[in-house]
Amino acid sequence: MSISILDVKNLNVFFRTQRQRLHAVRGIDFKLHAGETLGIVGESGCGKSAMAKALVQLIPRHHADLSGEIWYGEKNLASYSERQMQTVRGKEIGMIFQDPMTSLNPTMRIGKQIVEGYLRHYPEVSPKSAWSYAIDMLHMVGIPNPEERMLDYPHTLSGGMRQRVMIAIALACKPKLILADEPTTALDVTIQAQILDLMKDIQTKTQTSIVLITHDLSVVAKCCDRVLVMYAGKVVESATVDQLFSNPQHPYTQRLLQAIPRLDKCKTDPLIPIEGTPPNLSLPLASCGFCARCPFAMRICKEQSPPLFHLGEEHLSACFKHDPRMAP
Amino acid sequence: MMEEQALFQPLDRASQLLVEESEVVAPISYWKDAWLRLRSNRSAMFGLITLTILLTLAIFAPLFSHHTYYETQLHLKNESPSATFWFGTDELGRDLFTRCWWGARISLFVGITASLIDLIIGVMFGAFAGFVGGRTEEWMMRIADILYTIPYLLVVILLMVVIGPGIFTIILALTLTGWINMARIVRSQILQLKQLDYVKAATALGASRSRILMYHLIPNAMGPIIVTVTLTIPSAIFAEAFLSFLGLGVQAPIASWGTMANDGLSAMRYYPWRLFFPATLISLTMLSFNLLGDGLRDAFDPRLRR
Amino acid sequence: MTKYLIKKAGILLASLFIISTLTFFLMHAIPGDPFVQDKAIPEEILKALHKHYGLDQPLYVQYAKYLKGLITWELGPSFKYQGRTVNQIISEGFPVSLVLGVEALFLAVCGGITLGAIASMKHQRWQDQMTMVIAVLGISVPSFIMASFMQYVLAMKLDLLPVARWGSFSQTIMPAISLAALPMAFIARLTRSNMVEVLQQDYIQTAKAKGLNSITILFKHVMRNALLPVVTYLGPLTAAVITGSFAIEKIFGIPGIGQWFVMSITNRDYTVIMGTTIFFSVLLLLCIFIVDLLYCLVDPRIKNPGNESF
Repeated sequence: MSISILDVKNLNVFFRTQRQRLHAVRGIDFKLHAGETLGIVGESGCGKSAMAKALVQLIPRHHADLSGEIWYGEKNLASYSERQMQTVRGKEIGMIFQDPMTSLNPTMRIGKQIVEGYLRHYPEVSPKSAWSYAIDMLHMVGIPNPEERMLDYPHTLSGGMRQRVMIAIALACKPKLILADEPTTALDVTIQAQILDLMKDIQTKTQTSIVLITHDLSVVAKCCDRVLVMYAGKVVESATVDQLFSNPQHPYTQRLLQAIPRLDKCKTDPLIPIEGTPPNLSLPLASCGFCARCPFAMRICKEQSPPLFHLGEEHLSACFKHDPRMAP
Repeated sequence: MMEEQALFQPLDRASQLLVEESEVVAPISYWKDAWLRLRSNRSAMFGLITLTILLTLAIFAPLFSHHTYYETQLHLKNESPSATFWFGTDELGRDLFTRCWWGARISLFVGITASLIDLIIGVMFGAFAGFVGGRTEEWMMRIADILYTIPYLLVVILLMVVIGPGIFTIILALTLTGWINMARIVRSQILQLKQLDYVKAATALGASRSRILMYHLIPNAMGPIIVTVTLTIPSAIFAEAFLSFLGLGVQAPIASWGTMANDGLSAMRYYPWRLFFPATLISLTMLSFNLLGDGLRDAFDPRLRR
Repeated sequence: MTKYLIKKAGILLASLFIISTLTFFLMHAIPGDPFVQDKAIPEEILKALHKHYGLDQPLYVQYAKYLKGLITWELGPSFKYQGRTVNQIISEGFPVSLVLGVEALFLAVCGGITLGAIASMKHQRWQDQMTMVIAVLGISVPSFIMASFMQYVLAMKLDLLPVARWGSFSQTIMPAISLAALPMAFIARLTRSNMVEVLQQDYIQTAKAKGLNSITILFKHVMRNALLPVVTYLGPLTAAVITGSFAIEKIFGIPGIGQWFVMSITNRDYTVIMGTTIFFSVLLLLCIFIVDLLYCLVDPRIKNPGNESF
């Protein structure tokens, strides 16, 4: 049993908008083990990005309320002040964002953007050695001519290259954990594959743990060791990658997998979408969030929210069909 | 045990759908959304209400006043505000209250007319340039750029020196180069809108160019156009007041706020009300238009759409 | 970058040419005679005056002479003040206006940016609301009204500052403030809206995720991007200060070019009107060109467009 780097308990995020309070993340628990890639899958609006940002308190305090515990080793990050978080961000936990076109400062040279984070956490290092270290980082992420690239501005690079720079920035301070929020969504499919290979490669070399957030199940299949499926702010299924794809248990996961267009099926077969829309998160949800769209919905689903049932090694599913009280 | 088992029975769907539909919020139109946003903006509403009051007074106050704006009664000169003369009198014994509201008429008339003319010329120029594109647009915008660089007030002043004073000459001077700002804004709006899919769809369906321009592009550019007009009015009012202050505005005995402020300046030490009232009215009017214009800009901003 | 600058220079030279020509023909379109104003002048003297000032030549000859004078920077004699040339008048008045203008510019830029920055960082809270109220007042209250008001309250009633004239530092305070009010308000609003927009950008989030603190983020990431548009405003800013000076110098009795310009208008002193107009235009266009140059240097996207690949 490997050590857990991150232990999240009952994480809740409430967004405060002008008219309402949106309960975007509803009591999430999970553990992240050292050296593993944990995938977090869900549709837009399910709360996965909010959760990732909440882990490093990147949501401004006046926009959202956080509750719960985020155990990173001996420290509870949820209780940290902004000052304390600044020592954690970048150094212990790095982040990669979705849109490489807008995530880099357009008026600052690439080299400077890598070096500034590094020097902030390791001020004893000389600027010169920081600069050559940054060149090594660019080399590691597969950017050709790194010495020249250091002096370039972001607008001279393509999307894929910019994302590689983002990865270099995230890795610069050698964090133990990287949060990758949809790192390939904004890229072409071929570039996607390259970036994912790069990330896997780096993980093998550096043993960094990765939390990979995506809405794309094929990304999960390619890169992840374990997966959490999120829906309406909650984790509905948690499994290893093999378990998820071979034996999905939660109706939502099953429908997700069914909905993927497949090359080996007949072209005239209709696509199978999931009908309906996710629930309104500004209203309290006493029922199962998926019950309106679920083919197996029972009366209890409308009245209570299902807990995560253990289905065996590492496989959890939040559905009342696993409830032992059900008649066989 | 039985009740528990009942919970695990399949769910009845029919009742479900009714609940869901009531949760859907009806969408509102672009204009209604803008109006609601404007209404909730307190400073914009303050501006709107103040302007309405000023406009009403400008129209009706001179009609109901017992005094005229040109009648001089030298024995009553420089009276401070009193029951007969609500704003006092100036050095020729003329009632300042009536003169102020005549001045209001002049300033508002000049401001609004000049802005409307700027609007018409600007929209025609900008829409045409943006829509036609190509070299025509390039040359049109180059001319506009050159004209834009010429210092506006300098030209206005020079024109006033040549053409001579008077309300319509002021309007002419203001509009000769004032339309350029509007033209630029309209053009950039048209350029943005041209790229939108529904415009391409309309073209593909065979709509004529003028129809596209009139029915699709211009109405959707109305938001920024309205904002620009609202914000051009105070700068036209300012320009008129500035000209009058320098002695290039309307001639006596016609009262404009600028000339009254100019008169009031020299007498400021002893008869401050002569400056105070026109000065306050100019500032209040410009403030109201600016607040309203700002509010309109926020109301039409698509990024703030709820 | 050079292409960009040449294009800009071309536009500015074209503007200058248009202004000069416009000014010339406008001045000659004014009805009446520059010398026949107060008293009746005998015919022969009038003719002699016309000959002396070259007004008896055909128009195109006068125009050519005028253009030549512009290029060699000899703006001719004043019609009103015998024995003084326009060049003299400008060289006397300009230093005064320059000091006033620079003071106002400095105040407007520093004050405006500071106010705007504070407002944007305390977005939607009372500091934001208050600074924006001040800003909208700055835009709405005309400079000459603000100047008159200040003169009345601070100088005449409270006796805190000298009423008028030029010479000591305290005499520059009220004029500079009233001149700076409008541009400062504009810059404050511009800075605030730019900063609010920049603060919402993704790269600010990246900067935070690196563990940088707020001050570093503000100065190294926000400022440079937010202030770029403010640089382009500096052109119109100079124009506002120049035209504002006409009224301000009149109110405070400051012997700068602005006041000369206004006086020459009242006196119908055509050569002075033309000369000062050209001078202002050249000044303004020069400032605009410098600003364009600055913008070029500061925004790397214009400096080297590179291959904007996607």
